[in-house]
Amino acid sequence: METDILNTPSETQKSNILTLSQKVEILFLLFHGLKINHLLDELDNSHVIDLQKFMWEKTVEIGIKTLGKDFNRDEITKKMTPS
Amino acid sequence: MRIGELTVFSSQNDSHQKFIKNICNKIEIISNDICIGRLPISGQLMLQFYGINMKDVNNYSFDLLSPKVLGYIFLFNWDDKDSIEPIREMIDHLSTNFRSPIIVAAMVNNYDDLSVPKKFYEPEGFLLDSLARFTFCDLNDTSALKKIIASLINIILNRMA
Repeated sequence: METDILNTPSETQKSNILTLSQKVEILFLLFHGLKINHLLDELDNSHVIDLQKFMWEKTVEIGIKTLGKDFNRDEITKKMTPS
Repeated sequence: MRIGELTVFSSQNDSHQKFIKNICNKIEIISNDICIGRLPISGQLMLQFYGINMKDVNNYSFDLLSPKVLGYIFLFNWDDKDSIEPIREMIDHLSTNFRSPIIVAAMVNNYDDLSVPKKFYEPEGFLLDSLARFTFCDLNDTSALKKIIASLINIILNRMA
Protein backbone atom coordinates (compact mmCIF):
# COMPACT_ATOMS: atom_id res chain seq x y z
CA MET A 1 0.00 0.00 0.00
CA GLU A 2 1.40 3.33 -0.99
CA THR A 3 1.60 5.92 1.74
CA ASP A 4 0.64 8.55 -0.81
CA ILE A 5 -2.97 7.66 -0.15
CA LEU A 6 -2.63 9.55 3.08
CA ASN A 7 -2.07 12.79 1.25
CA THR A 8 -3.27 12.51 -2.33
CA PRO A 9 -6.17 10.14 -2.92
CA SER A 10 -6.12 8.54 -6.35
CA GLU A 11 -8.83 9.39 -8.82
CA THR A 12 -10.46 5.99 -8.39
CA GLN A 13 -10.34 6.10 -4.63
CA LYS A 14 -11.19 9.63 -3.56
CA SER A 15 -14.72 10.24 -2.45
CA ASN A 16 -15.88 13.69 -3.47
CA ILE A 17 -19.67 13.46 -3.49
CA LEU A 18 -20.15 13.32 0.23
CA THR A 19 -19.81 16.71 1.84
CA LEU A 20 -17.13 17.36 4.42
CA SER A 21 -19.72 17.56 7.17
CA GLN A 22 -21.16 14.20 6.15
CA LYS A 23 -17.68 12.70 6.34
CA VAL A 24 -17.21 14.20 9.80
CA GLU A 25 -20.52 12.71 10.89
CA ILE A 26 -19.54 9.31 9.51
CA LEU A 27 -16.29 9.35 11.45
CA PHE A 28 -18.17 10.40 14.58
CA LEU A 29 -20.65 7.55 14.24
CA LEU A 30 -17.97 4.96 13.46
CA PHE A 31 -15.69 5.86 16.34
CA HIS A 32 -18.58 6.07 18.78
CA GLY A 33 -19.77 2.65 17.65
CA LEU A 34 -23.08 4.04 16.48
CA LYS A 35 -25.13 2.81 13.58
CA ILE A 36 -25.10 4.60 10.25
CA ASN A 37 -28.44 3.20 9.08
CA HIS A 38 -30.12 6.61 9.23
CA LEU A 39 -27.43 7.97 6.91
CA LEU A 40 -28.02 5.20 4.41
CA ASP A 41 -31.72 6.01 4.41
CA GLU A 42 -31.00 9.67 3.69
CA LEU A 43 -28.52 9.12 0.86
CA ASP A 44 -29.19 8.34 -2.77
CA ASN A 45 -27.34 5.54 -4.58
CA SER A 46 -24.38 7.62 -5.69
CA HIS A 47 -23.87 8.92 -2.17
CA VAL A 48 -24.08 5.41 -0.72
CA ILE A 49 -21.37 4.31 -3.13
CA ASP A 50 -19.33 7.31 -2.07
CA LEU A 51 -19.91 6.45 1.58
CA GLN A 52 -18.60 2.95 0.93
CA LYS A 53 -15.52 4.39 -0.79
CA PHE A 54 -14.92 6.78 2.09
CA MET A 55 -15.18 4.02 4.68
CA TRP A 56 -12.79 1.87 2.67
CA GLU A 57 -10.34 4.76 2.42
CA LYS A 58 -10.43 5.34 6.18
CA THR A 59 -9.97 1.64 6.90
CA VAL A 60 -6.93 1.58 4.63
CA GLU A 61 -5.65 4.80 6.17
CA ILE A 62 -5.91 3.37 9.67
CA GLY A 63 -4.30 0.14 8.52
CA ILE A 64 -1.33 1.94 7.04
CA LYS A 65 -0.89 4.10 10.11
CA THR A 66 -0.93 1.11 12.43
CA LEU A 67 0.80 -1.60 10.38
CA GLY A 68 2.83 0.47 7.97
CA LYS A 69 4.27 -1.31 4.96
CA ASP A 70 3.15 -4.68 6.33
CA PHE A 71 -0.46 -3.73 5.82
CA ASN A 72 -2.26 -5.38 2.92
CA ARG A 73 -5.80 -5.79 1.64
CA ASP A 74 -6.29 -9.15 3.36
CA GLU A 75 -6.11 -7.43 6.73
CA ILE A 76 -9.44 -5.82 5.90
CA THR A 77 -11.16 -8.46 3.80
CA LYS A 78 -10.45 -11.43 6.08
CA LYS A 79 -12.78 -9.93 8.67
CA MET A 80 -15.56 -9.11 6.25
CA THR A 81 -18.76 -11.13 6.20
CA PRO A 82 -20.85 -11.41 3.05
CA SER A 83 -24.10 -9.46 3.10
CA MET B 1 5.59 42.24 8.78
CA ARG B 2 3.63 39.66 6.83
CA ILE B 3 0.42 38.45 8.46
CA GLY B 4 -1.28 35.14 7.79
CA GLU B 5 -4.90 35.02 8.88
CA LEU B 6 -6.67 31.97 10.19
CA THR B 7 -10.21 31.66 11.53
CA VAL B 8 -11.32 29.43 14.37
CA PHE B 9 -14.98 28.54 14.68
CA SER B 10 -16.52 26.86 17.65
CA SER B 11 -19.97 25.46 18.05
CA GLN B 12 -19.97 26.02 21.76
CA ASN B 13 -19.48 28.98 24.00
CA ASP B 14 -15.88 30.13 24.32
CA SER B 15 -13.94 27.19 22.91
CA HIS B 16 -12.56 29.37 20.11
CA GLN B 17 -11.35 31.89 22.69
CA LYS B 18 -9.64 29.20 24.70
CA PHE B 19 -7.99 27.80 21.57
CA ILE B 20 -6.61 31.19 20.58
CA LYS B 21 -5.59 32.13 24.08
CA ASN B 22 -3.63 28.89 24.53
CA ILE B 23 -1.92 29.27 21.15
CA CYS B 24 -1.20 32.98 21.36
CA ASN B 25 -0.77 33.31 25.13
CA LYS B 26 -3.23 36.17 25.14
CA ILE B 27 -6.19 37.52 23.24
CA GLU B 28 -5.51 40.93 21.75
CA ILE B 29 -9.07 41.97 21.05
CA ILE B 30 -12.26 40.55 22.36
CA SER B 31 -15.82 41.62 21.74
CA ASN B 32 -19.21 40.00 21.96
CA ASP B 33 -18.88 38.09 18.73
CA ILE B 34 -15.19 37.94 17.76
CA CYS B 35 -11.81 37.61 19.37
CA ILE B 36 -8.37 38.12 17.83
CA GLY B 37 -5.04 36.65 18.80
CA ARG B 38 -1.61 37.09 17.30
CA LEU B 39 1.20 34.57 17.15
CA PRO B 40 4.56 35.96 16.02
CA ILE B 41 6.49 33.39 14.03
CA SER B 42 9.51 35.56 13.38
CA GLY B 43 10.39 39.22 13.05
CA GLN B 44 8.85 39.18 9.57
CA LEU B 45 5.90 36.79 9.90
CA MET B 46 2.90 36.60 12.19
CA LEU B 47 -0.24 34.49 12.33
CA GLN B 48 -3.42 36.30 13.27
CA PHE B 49 -6.33 34.24 14.55
CA TYR B 50 -9.96 35.26 14.41
CA GLY B 51 -12.21 33.39 16.79
CA ILE B 52 -15.92 33.24 16.05
CA ASN B 53 -18.79 31.46 17.73
CA MET B 54 -21.07 29.85 15.19
CA LYS B 55 -24.11 31.62 16.61
CA ASP B 56 -22.57 34.91 15.42
CA VAL B 57 -21.55 33.75 11.98
CA ASN B 58 -24.31 35.54 10.11
CA ASN B 59 -22.77 38.85 11.12
CA TYR B 60 -19.90 38.37 8.69
CA SER B 61 -19.65 38.32 4.93
CA PHE B 62 -17.47 35.30 4.33
CA ASP B 63 -17.67 35.77 0.60
CA LEU B 64 -15.51 38.84 1.09
CA LEU B 65 -13.34 37.47 3.90
CA SER B 66 -12.58 34.02 2.53
CA PRO B 67 -10.07 35.02 -0.17
CA LYS B 68 -7.94 36.61 2.56
CA VAL B 69 -8.08 33.81 5.10
CA LEU B 70 -5.47 31.09 4.75
CA GLY B 71 -7.56 28.42 6.40
CA TYR B 72 -10.18 27.48 8.95
CA ILE B 73 -10.34 25.46 12.11
CA PHE B 74 -13.66 24.10 13.34
CA LEU B 75 -14.08 22.92 16.93
CA PHE B 76 -16.86 20.75 18.28
CA ASN B 77 -17.40 18.60 21.37
CA TRP B 78 -16.54 14.95 20.76
CA ASP B 79 -19.01 13.88 23.46
CA ASP B 80 -21.91 15.76 21.95
CA LYS B 81 -23.13 14.83 18.48
CA ASP B 82 -25.44 17.85 18.48
CA SER B 83 -22.39 20.11 18.58
CA ILE B 84 -21.61 19.12 14.99
CA GLU B 85 -24.82 20.66 13.66
CA PRO B 86 -23.91 24.35 14.15
CA ILE B 87 -20.71 23.97 12.13
CA ARG B 88 -21.96 21.71 9.33
CA GLU B 89 -23.28 24.35 6.99
CA MET B 90 -20.21 26.56 7.28
CA ILE B 91 -17.83 23.64 6.76
CA ASP B 92 -19.62 22.68 3.56
CA HIS B 93 -20.00 26.29 2.40
CA LEU B 94 -16.29 27.08 2.77
CA SER B 95 -15.06 23.80 1.37
CA THR B 96 -17.42 23.77 -1.60
CA ASN B 97 -17.48 27.41 -2.63
CA PHE B 98 -13.99 28.52 -1.72
CA ARG B 99 -11.96 25.31 -1.55
CA SER B 100 -10.56 26.55 1.73
CA PRO B 101 -8.09 24.48 3.75
CA ILE B 102 -9.96 23.16 6.80
CA ILE B 103 -9.17 21.30 9.99
CA VAL B 104 -12.11 19.88 11.93
CA ALA B 105 -11.03 19.15 15.50
CA ALA B 106 -13.09 17.23 18.00
CA MET B 107 -12.45 18.53 21.49
CA VAL B 108 -11.79 15.94 24.17
CA ASN B 109 -11.06 16.30 27.87
CA ASN B 110 -8.85 13.27 28.22
CA TYR B 111 -7.06 11.39 25.46
CA ASP B 112 -7.11 8.26 27.61
CA ASP B 113 -10.91 8.19 27.44
CA LEU B 114 -10.81 8.37 23.67
CA SER B 115 -11.62 5.12 21.88
CA VAL B 116 -9.42 6.22 18.98
CA PRO B 117 -5.71 5.52 19.58
CA LYS B 118 -3.40 8.44 18.89
CA LYS B 119 -1.50 6.56 16.23
CA PHE B 120 -4.72 6.53 14.21
CA TYR B 121 -4.95 10.27 13.88
CA GLU B 122 -1.51 11.65 14.55
CA PRO B 123 0.33 13.53 13.24
CA GLU B 124 -2.01 15.11 10.74
CA GLY B 125 -5.40 13.59 11.41
CA PHE B 126 -7.72 11.74 9.08
CA LEU B 127 -7.95 12.84 5.50
CA LEU B 128 -11.36 14.23 4.59
CA ASP B 129 -10.24 15.45 1.20
CA SER B 130 -7.10 16.98 -0.26
CA LEU B 131 -7.73 20.24 1.63
CA ALA B 132 -9.29 19.01 4.84
CA ARG B 133 -8.37 16.90 7.86
CA PHE B 134 -10.18 15.61 10.92
CA THR B 135 -8.40 15.29 14.24
CA PHE B 136 -8.79 15.50 18.00
CA CYS B 137 -7.55 18.00 20.53
CA ASP B 138 -7.54 18.85 24.19
CA LEU B 139 -7.75 22.64 24.44
CA ASN B 140 -5.42 22.49 27.44
CA ASP B 141 -2.76 20.69 25.40
CA THR B 142 -0.86 23.48 23.68
CA SER B 143 1.32 21.06 21.73
CA ALA B 144 -1.79 19.47 20.23
CA LEU B 145 -3.11 22.89 19.22
CA LYS B 146 0.20 23.72 17.57
CA LYS B 147 0.05 20.44 15.66
CA ILE B 148 -3.32 21.52 14.32
CA ILE B 149 -1.84 24.79 13.13
CA ALA B 150 1.09 22.96 11.54
CA SER B 151 -1.27 20.53 9.84
CA LEU B 152 -3.30 23.40 8.40
CA ILE B 153 -0.15 25.10 7.14
CA ASN B 154 0.95 21.83 5.52
CA ILE B 155 -2.37 21.61 3.68
CA ILE B 156 -1.83 25.14 2.40
CA LEU B 157 1.73 24.38 1.31
CA ASN B 158 0.72 21.13 -0.39
CA ARG B 159 -1.89 23.02 -2.34
CA MET B 160 0.80 25.35 -3.60
CA ALA B 161 3.08 22.51 -4.62
